[in-house]
Amino acid sequence: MINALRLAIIILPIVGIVFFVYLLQEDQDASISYLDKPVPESALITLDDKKVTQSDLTGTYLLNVWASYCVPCKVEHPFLMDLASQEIRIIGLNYKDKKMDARHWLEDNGSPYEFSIYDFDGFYALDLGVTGVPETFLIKDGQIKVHVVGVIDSKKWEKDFVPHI
Amino acid sequence: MIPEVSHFLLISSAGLFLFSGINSMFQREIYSNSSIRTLNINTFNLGIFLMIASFVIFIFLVLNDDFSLLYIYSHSHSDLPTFYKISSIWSAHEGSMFLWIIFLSIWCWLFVNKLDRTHELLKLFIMISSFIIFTFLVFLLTTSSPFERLLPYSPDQGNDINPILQDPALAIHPPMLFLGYVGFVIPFIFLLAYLINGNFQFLWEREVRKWCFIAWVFLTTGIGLGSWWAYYELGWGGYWFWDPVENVALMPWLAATAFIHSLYASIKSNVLKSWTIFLGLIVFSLTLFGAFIVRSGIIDSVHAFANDPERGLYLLMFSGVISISALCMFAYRFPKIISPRLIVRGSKESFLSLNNIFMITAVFSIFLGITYPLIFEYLNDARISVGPPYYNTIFAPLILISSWFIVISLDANWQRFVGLIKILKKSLFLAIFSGFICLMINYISSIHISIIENIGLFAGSLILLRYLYEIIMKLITPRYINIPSLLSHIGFGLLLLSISLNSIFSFEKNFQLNLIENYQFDVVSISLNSMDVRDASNFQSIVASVTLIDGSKKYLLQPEKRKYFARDQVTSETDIRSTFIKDIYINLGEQLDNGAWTFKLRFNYFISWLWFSVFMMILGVLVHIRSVADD
Repeated sequence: MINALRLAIIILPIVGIVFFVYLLQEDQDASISYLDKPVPESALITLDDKKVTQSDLTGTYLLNVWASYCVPCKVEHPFLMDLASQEIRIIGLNYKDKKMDARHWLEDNGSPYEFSIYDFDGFYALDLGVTGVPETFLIKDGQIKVHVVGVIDSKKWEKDFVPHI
Repeated sequence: MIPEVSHFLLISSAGLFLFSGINSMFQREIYSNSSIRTLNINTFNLGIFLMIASFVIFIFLVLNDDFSLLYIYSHSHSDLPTFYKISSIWSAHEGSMFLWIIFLSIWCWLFVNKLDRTHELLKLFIMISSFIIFTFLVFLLTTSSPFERLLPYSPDQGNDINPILQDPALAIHPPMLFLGYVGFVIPFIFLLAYLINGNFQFLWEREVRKWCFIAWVFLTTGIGLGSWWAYYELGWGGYWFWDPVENVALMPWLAATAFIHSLYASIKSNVLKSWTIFLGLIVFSLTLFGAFIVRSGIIDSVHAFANDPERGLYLLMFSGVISISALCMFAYRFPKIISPRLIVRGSKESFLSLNNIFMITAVFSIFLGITYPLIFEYLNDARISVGPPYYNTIFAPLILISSWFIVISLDANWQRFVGLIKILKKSLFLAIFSGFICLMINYISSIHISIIENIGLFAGSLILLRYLYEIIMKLITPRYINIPSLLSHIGFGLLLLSISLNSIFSFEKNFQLNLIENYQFDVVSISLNSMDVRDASNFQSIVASVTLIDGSKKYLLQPEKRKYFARDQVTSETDIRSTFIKDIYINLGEQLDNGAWTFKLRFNYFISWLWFSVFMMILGVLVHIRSVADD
């Protein structure tokens, strides 16, 4: 009887802990979602007042939501520059920003983007499911594959994007 | 530069704790050689000193709005009043973990320096506490560093603390709660040291009891303040929501309450030793479990911090190792610490140990309530939630039985059985009387009273009557009366009673009012006099001024809505008037298209009794601490 009690005192918590370890491994980060849905269609213009054509948005690319007023965007900016230098296509989505501020920001800090879509009222971002800045999408052949909320870095890049390219 | 100094001090302090831990593990001469002993204690003290210095510098950085630190940028703002700048430190995971560790270390430091220099457990105590503090520091520094910087582009302005956290009760509630939680590290480490040491002759209870009672006071105060804050700030009109984070605070509280009861019994009668040791180990383990639940993001809750499985895994592993090694030690020594004498059936300690079992059952039920949705989701891939009905149903019978044991244990004696009739006669008589009170309340009020509420009424009035009887007898014939127990248990009876009465009588009215319009029900009439806009340094508010006439009494109420600029967040400030039996609780809602404003009015009965009863429980323990200190 006493020995059974002694055993139970040790075994029960261990079972609990093993369960929680299991659970944690299952647990997914809420800021990442893996999807398979088409990119919404819309008439878009770039930050340089050019029209965006369908052929600009084909193939595989990252869509990075940014704004000049957004501090975390500055944090992730060097990493985006890094990606751009590795020949990875990044298209910007300038979100609810002033055109001049956005242009100055790119002049001051350098642009990792092939071009930036200018979304002044945020309607295109709304269709995409953007909740704030910065956010990043991986788009492949017109399908959204990955959606990450918040700053991306090399760790997130390796873990969440690379396997889906 | 200055943040790095603070960071460096904390890293050095971690190094010192590692050294102090290893030193006390391998130095055999610690007791024979006084300079080695001094070295060991001084290393430990220096570690604490550097850690506190690091924290003080961190406070300085917060006060100086150093937004180059990610943590300060995310949770502070230069317009905040100084008081809230400081409280912003514990408004999120990293900073509150920092504070948690600071408190843990301060408790250990106070205890180490209070212990006799030649105390046989000193070495083990320093060893275990150094290792525990070291591992927590590693956790803080590697997975949740508050020193992360935003360079070279540091922002000029912070993101502000969440407005609903800008409140005095909430600013002091986490520190109080943390002090209580980690205070139970003292009995935990001391008992672990006692079990490892293996000399069971000496009386460990007397050395730690004061610390346990003090920690209990902090824990209770912290939970009480949190509940009070939720009551007047969240605007739901309730004071307890069975939210997972409240539950993880309640579990250690129940275990701690069982622990201090059995501590008292084991001092008095030399039995229940193994129970007391087990409970002492469990309280801190539950605290660690709570930290894991809140900080791993495994459960969604208003309190839960950011989702980070990596953090969770570290905390889980670490808490698991600490708790299980303690439990293994306990199981290993179990045959030796188990009391050779059986507890006498019908003695005071027999009722106490029965109540221990009920309190542990309550802890386990809460544990199940927290984990069951997780297990269910894991097995069935569907979500369920466990809410108040579950907890109320589980708690009602437990409270009914344990209140019965509380009252009959008053008539029982330590270590002997004085006869069934002597134990039961007063309580049976009073039970009939409280049953009668229940019936009266059921009969008088036109409201339907559920079985659970009836149980609460019965149990509460039974405890109150029993202790009132004691007071009356004391006044008639001078005799011994245990004042701390009297105060605390009257508090507990009052708590049960006010919770039940509150649940029975409280009601809510939702209505809309235009300016100078009137709304009436029963004998109450409400009119809206004016709506004003007011400006403050970090928010703008709309204040409604409402006149409420309740029978012959007239109240001016001013609920408001605030818009905080920095986060663009709108909060509702409730206005509450407390009277002897009820709180008038009014909340300003939205403006409708026709220009009218919506209001939510609640009559919350016996709320002030509830706060008072918590105060009584704390007061009882404080009086006890005083009498222990006088010994």
